[in-house]
Amino acid sequence: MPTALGVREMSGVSIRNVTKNYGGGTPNAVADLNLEIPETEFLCLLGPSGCGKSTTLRMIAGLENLSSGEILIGDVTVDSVEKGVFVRPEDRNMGLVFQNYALWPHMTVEQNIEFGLKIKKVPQAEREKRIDEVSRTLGIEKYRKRYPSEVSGGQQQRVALARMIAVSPRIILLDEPLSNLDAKLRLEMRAELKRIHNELGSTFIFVTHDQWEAMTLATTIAVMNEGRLQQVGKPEDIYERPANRFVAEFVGTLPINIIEMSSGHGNALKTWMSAYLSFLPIDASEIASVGLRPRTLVIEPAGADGTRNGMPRCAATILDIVPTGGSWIVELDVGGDRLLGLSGNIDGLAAGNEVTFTVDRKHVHLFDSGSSRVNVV
Amino acid sequence: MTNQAPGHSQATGLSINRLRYRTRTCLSDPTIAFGIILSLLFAYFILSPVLMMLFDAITIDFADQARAGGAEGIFTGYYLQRALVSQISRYIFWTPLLNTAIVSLCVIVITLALGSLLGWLVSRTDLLGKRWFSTALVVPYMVPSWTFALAWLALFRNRKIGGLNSWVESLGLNPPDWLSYGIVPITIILALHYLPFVILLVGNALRQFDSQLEDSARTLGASPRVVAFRIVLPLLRPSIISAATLVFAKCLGDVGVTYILGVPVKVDLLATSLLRAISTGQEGMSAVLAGAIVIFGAASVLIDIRLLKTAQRYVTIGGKGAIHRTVRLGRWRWPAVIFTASVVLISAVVPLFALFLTTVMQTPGVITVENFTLDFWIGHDLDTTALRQGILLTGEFWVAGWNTVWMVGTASIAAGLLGLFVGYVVVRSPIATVAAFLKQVTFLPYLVPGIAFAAAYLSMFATPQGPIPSLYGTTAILVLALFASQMPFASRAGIAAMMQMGKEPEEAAKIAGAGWWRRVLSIVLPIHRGALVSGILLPFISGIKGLSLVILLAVPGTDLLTTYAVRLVDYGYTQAANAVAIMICVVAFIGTWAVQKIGRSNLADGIGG
Ligand SMILES: Nc1ncnc2c1ncn2[C@@H]1O[C@H](COP(=O)(O)OP(=O)(O)O)[C@@H](O)[C@H]1O
Ligand SMILES: [Mg+2]
Repeated sequence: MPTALGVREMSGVSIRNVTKNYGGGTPNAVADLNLEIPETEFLCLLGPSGCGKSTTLRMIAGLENLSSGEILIGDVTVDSVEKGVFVRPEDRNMGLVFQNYALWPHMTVEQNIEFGLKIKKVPQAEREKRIDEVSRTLGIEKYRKRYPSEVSGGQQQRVALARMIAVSPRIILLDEPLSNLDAKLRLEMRAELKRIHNELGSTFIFVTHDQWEAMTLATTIAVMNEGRLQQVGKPEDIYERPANRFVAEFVGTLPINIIEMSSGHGNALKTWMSAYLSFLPIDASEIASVGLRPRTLVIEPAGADGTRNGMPRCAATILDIVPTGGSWIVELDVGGDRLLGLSGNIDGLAAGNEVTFTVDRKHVHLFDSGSSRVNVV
Repeated sequence: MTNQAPGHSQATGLSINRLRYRTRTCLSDPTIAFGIILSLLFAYFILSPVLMMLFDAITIDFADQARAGGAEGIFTGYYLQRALVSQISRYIFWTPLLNTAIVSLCVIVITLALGSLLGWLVSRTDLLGKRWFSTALVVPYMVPSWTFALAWLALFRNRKIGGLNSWVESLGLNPPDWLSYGIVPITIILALHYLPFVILLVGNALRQFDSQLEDSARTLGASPRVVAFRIVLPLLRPSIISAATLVFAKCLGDVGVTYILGVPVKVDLLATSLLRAISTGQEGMSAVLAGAIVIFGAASVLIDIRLLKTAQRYVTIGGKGAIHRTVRLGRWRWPAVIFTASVVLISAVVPLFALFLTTVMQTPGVITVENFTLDFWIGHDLDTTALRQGILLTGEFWVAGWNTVWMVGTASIAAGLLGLFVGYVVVRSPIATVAAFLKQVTFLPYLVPGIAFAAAYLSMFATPQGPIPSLYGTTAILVLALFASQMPFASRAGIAAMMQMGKEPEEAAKIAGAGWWRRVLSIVLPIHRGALVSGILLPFISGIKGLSLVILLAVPGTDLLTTYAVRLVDYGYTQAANAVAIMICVVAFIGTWAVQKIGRSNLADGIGG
């Protein structure tokens, strides 16, 4: 490994049985995490705030020690509690962009970018070239002589990225990098990140609590909750085949409609769903709850026949229709229970109308009493 | 057995590896090693002198073997008994204690009453010349307290102890003893000197205080008086308590004022009683007296901390949308201005001016052209026994000046730097006990008033300690004591700075591949440049004018400006002493001005340092 620039080693990340406890009687921040992140992947760790995403990222970077388990980079063990191995963060050759950017306030933009190159003993001429390159790539040439406090938040973000990619790290870690930006900048940076990923071909691990960021950026999403991994998969898998109720409820712009099958006796909604389930090749007694995404609800004026594509319909009353620019949120009432629908077309529908609705069988999400997904074979 | 062995050894192997993992992560940077070195350093230079001194109070001193009836080093109650219940205990302990109690109580009452009013006037009202007044009112704190004592003598001295005529005498009056010396002038001077404390603390608290809190009480129908007593006063309680404790601790440790105004007429406070015990070589007795001062000082500070903790729930004062409305003084406008102006006049202008005039007059208070002279500054061949030239031409003055600059400077730089490192270790150390110990031990000198701390240094370093020879009479003991006594402020400044920075900038450097030293030199120190500068300059300013700590430790060869001035007072060279005092004020003013100029720190931060 002559200079760190250019030469690339194996750079997948393996997280094995990793648990992290901060002590003081707190619950595990990360519990028994197993995750294989292949080389050049753009993995997104998604989950609500406090679920252990940053902790995971910081453990990969070596900034936080493990309570048990091991972490490998390529085939090199960098952390192993059981084998007594620890590689210092200085020696891990990674890039990390902090949520608050953590630029060095006493150095100019240029010096911020140069620092890592100096540490890696890159010769002066090559350093200059590299700084030119990355500041051009990220469009910050104009601010090279300024201090971080003299540039805007969006530009600070770019400086943080430039500082990180200047040393071409094999693994790039990003902790909620878009969360401090306004909507427009966020779109811009999203594109920028995607481009950088394509150009560098490094492994990206990206932390966010924003499912939109995760869905639009990641090649793979890992959903976490309360320190535990819930599901790993492609964005569309996560959305269309949530592994459990938590994932189903966390992912999706509008909250998913949940119908509890085990409680609430004999109401209209449950009656309809029981009838519906009886058409499916499953053991209906196993099903504890059913999830229906608003956009999959097919809502039609009352009076159509009792079934659609062989599946029963349910009668409902429209409570309200809320325009959301191009589509409409339709609030339904079924014998006192409320459901949300999302429809691109509301011809013939109005608040107060009696309607019927149903869903395609491929769009019902079934969960057992342990909240795990039950697949319809 | 044979069956179990493999499993067993595997389990031990595992736990050894766990331990190895822990150690490796902890030792991946030298923070812990550094923390341990710092802990040892401060245990040696702060903790052990204080412990040694307390130990001296209960063991027999070499000189007292016969009287105490035992060999040196044996445990004894002799000194305690002598100080507390013997025939002389009234003179050594109880009267000084009573005096101390009376003086500090009066000082606290006066400063709180005047200070709260003035603090309110300059922070919340439309007082004329508010900005100017808020600076002018702080002046008394910038000059050494004993300067006021010299000024007092210059104004009110009578024939009881002789010497130069005072201004009042020059007017043909003979001031009574109670006005010239003793409890009354001591109280007045300490009150004037520490008044700025209260003004600053109360003023700052009121400045952050949200007018909406008052308004909401008013809209609920509370009268202004009820608002003042039920809303404003309770919310100000934390700053008032802090101010009161600080003033108490300062009175407890103040030597200079009493030395100049009390000792000539045999009025002692605990601090001067201690000074006397030490200068007459009574180690055991001085340890008891110093111990008493430490206990009172520590108790007051601990009570303060406790009370502040319970008052923490008030910290919501002045959130985001705080409104600060100025109170219109209306017909009280002029009385308020006159009142404030006269405080400035009495507490700063008159004393300093009188002090200055004595240095340019042959006989104070006689305003004739031939009475004015610059002899005390730049004259030569004067008809005095010693000091036959003006101060500015005297070698000792410049030596003392240089000593002050380099000794206090060295101590402040060392304290400032180490304070930052203490802050670093306290905030970063993965071992909580090291962090806690460092935090407490560097805070310790704050609980020990200057004179008692000096006594502690004497009991430890006046005799050879292992490889270290006796340091009495050397500059080393002065620098070390100054350094140690500045650690509370320095380490708190360091901790605050480190907390503020957060660990991300350093972690970013870690990720970039920078090792520990590199991170400290390129990231941590440069980022805290500002904190470092004020962490050095503020203690420097308070060190320059301090007397209590160094009066015991300096000898003629190692005089600082302050001890040199006191020595001149002892020899009766009043005008020369006053000239030195004026020079110290000048240096302190310039220093304070420089700190404000460099910015990022204001005087209120330096209080208590
Ligand atoms: N330094 C720390 N000390 C103690 N607890 C911590 C620390 N950092 C994080 N935690 C706790 O660990 C959990 C996970 O935190 P974090 O990884 O920051 O979550 P996320 O990044 O997903 O919001 C939280 O409950 C948090 O309170
Ligand atoms: Mg986080």
